[in-house]
Amino acid sequence: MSDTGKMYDVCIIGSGAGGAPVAAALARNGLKIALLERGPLYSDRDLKKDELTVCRMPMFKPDDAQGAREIHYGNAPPLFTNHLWTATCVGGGTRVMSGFFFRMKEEDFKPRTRFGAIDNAAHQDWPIDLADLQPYYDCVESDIGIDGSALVKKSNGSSMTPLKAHPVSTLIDTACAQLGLHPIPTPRAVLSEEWKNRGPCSYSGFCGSYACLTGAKASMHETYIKDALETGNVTLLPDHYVYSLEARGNAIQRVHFFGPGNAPGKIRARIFILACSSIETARLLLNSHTTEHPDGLANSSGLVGKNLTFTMPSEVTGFFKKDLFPSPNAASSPFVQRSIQDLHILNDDDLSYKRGGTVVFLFPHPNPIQRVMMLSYSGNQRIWGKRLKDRIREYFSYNHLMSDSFIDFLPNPQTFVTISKTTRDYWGIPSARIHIVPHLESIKSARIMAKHLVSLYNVMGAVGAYYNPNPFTAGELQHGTCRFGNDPKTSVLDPFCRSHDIKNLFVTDASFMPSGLPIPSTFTTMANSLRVAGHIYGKG
Amino acid sequence: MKKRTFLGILVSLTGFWLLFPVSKVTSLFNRLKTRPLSDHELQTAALIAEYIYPEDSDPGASALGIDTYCANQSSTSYFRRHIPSLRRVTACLDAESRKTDHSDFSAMHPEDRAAFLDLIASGKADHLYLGIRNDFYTLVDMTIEGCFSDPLHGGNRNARAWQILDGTFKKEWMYV
Repeated sequence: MSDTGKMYDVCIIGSGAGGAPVAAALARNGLKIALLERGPLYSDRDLKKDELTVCRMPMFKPDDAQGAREIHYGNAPPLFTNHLWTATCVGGGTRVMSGFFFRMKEEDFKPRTRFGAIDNAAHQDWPIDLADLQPYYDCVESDIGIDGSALVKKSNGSSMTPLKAHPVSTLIDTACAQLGLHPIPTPRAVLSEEWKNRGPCSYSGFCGSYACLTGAKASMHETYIKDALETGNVTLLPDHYVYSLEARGNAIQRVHFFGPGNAPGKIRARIFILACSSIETARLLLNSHTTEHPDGLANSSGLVGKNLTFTMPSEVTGFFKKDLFPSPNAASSPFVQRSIQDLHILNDDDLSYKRGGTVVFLFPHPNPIQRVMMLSYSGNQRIWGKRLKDRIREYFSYNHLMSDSFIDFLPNPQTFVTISKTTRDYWGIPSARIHIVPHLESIKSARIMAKHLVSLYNVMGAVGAYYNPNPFTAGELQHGTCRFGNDPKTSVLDPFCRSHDIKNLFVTDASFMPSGLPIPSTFTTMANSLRVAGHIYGKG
Repeated sequence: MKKRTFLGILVSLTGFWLLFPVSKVTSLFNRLKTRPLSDHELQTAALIAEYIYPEDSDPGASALGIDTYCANQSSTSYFRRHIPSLRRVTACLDAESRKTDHSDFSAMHPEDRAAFLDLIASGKADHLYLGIRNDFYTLVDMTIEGCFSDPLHGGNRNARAWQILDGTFKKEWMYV
């Protein structure tokens, strides 16, 4: 077993949106960091835009044996599968994100006060507010670059221009005006111009689910990890799977990992930061139980793994005649670049919890395999032969516009992570057992949002619109499982994301969130990661 | 059984388990199981794929080079997950066809082959073995991936499959 004997100031586990910003900020302040990542370090050469090897994610997910999980969707029989992984590679999910970067609004920090308590929901107000996070949102924006941001200055002092928008955006603007909605340009962590040695967007259309080859997308690999490595204070350790934290008393002494070639090893540090995604962070803490901490580390409240949330999916696709707008292939930009935040609050009598979400318009993913695969399903039935070919031809005789809504997934007692008693991964480590039951109010919100969008598509002149009512998430955005708060009895972390129980343990992935969000959470996770860094080096 | 023998067996089993955990043994077994496809299996795979994605005014799986795709891909870890399904279906089809035609499935008359696959696909042959329909669906996935992936992988010859999508295809779709 390798033990370098070296004592690091900080050991960070996970190099995605939660781990990379804190690594860069601490390294800039002179701390010696070990940054461990379970997945590999991919170069651009590894990440050609091949739909077979990249988009269906085998490069980014552990295989069935390494990423084995026991997943219970509602009352269905358990699946033993590698579902619900965000990308495992240096940079994490940010390497393949779409990069929709919205800020939280003031009311988003107080969901319980603003929208009230309801049966079977465990959402809580955040112990911080917008003023606490605002400076860090600004920092992230100016560090990584968001299109059209006034905070992103080019060398000549001017701001970066926004990304080009597809002509359908004008159609959306007109229809929204008729319905009293106020579309906004989608803020994206994608560069429209060359900046900080990163190239501009090539508008290839292969953005979400793909790694960016020009460096325009602000993945952690292109931004904070490069910054961190430039300081000389960070040791980046890809292919290091941390499976246990060794604690003595109320402090962690070292982490145990399997390194390249499955060689076991350990690393010592003064401070430990977990940022391995909400599911894996909870699993690591629960698997690190000792006689002193029989229910897992940092778990005196019994809340580690509880209150898992995602983003409640609500996907609507509109079918349009080809002459209404050009196909994304034929236009100068495949980005729609329009969003709606008017539906943040839903004044519908049918809802007890009136929180809605953010709508982002986009074109369906251009990957031909993915699109044909989708057409080979009719509900739960498969289609093949002549029927499949006819369906493909009919589907592609129209243009399609999609909307993805990011809706609050209410935390509830039926949605949680614990340790599987039956499933172990390739290394023999107990796997995560995940239970997912969306709250009825979240499902209702998703349907109401979908109705609004169908109306919008009708005004735009759609031939038809299709709402995918599947309430189960693909799992890219995970939150909860280690919620923060002031009371150690009702939270796992304090307001600076330090464990109430273990004094040298911080969590900086989205596990800290005590409620779901009506926006994609990546930007907030990064801003909070910088806030925690500020606290650690004493300037927060 | 003597106590000493029993303890000996117990210690041996524990030692074996520590050295070779179940997951590693299973993984090794799976690798052995997924040896490359034989010519006969490749031929059957192409016939099934043509049934799933047949030729009409647009090319079918065979014309798109599904056999080359399967041959090229059969050694990759990504494709290996399809192989057990393909083997089970091939063995079953051959066994059933020998009962009637005294020949392998691939030697059957095309209409008889299609009728046979109709039975499997529609769930009327579920009695043949448990999971035959799921195996067929795995082959639907394999066919779609083979036909619509980048020509670099052997299928989608001259990118002709992509032309059905909207009459054009974009250069950026190409891997090389």
